[in-house]
Amino acid sequence: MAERIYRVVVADDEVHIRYLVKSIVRAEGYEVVGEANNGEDALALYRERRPDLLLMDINLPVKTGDEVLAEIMREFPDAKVMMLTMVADVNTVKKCLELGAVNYILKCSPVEEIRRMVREALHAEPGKEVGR
Amino acid sequence: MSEKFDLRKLKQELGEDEKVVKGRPVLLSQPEIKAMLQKRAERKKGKGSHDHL
Repeated sequence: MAERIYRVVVADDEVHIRYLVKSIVRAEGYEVVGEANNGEDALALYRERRPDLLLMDINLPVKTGDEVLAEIMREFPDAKVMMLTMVADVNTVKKCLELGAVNYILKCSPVEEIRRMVREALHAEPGKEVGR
Repeated sequence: MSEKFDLRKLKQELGEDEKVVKGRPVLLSQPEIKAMLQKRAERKKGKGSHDHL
């Protein structure tokens, strides 16, 4: 049986970060089915393409990543949204975890760690959180 | 040693210092975030098993 190819959307306002994340995702054999440079487009892309994973920054123009996360989780409770950000503030991390982000990784983490957490997020059961 | 000890002033300064400390964001490291993710998963798992009772 052919292995399933996971579909990923990347949302970040910095083009070089999107480039890096896309190469990590593709190197894992996953498909990048869309990219957004602001929160509103990220939400629209999610609704339209229903990817297996949305990799999203928090400090996004138009609509912030945590606002988008809240809307997605309200509409699609089984959605997998992983935050990839430089925001390490405890309140923001808590908020995103409470809203249902499947994973949360700091951009300054080594590429191997980001790769591992993307894999972990994609292989977590829908509606279940990473961490066990 | 001619300086007088002013308790009121000291309390006021301490209060201001506390405001600065409390206003500062607490930044987490990746291992700390991971620990939070694990705690959340454990909480959910506990809640889930309780739901089945």
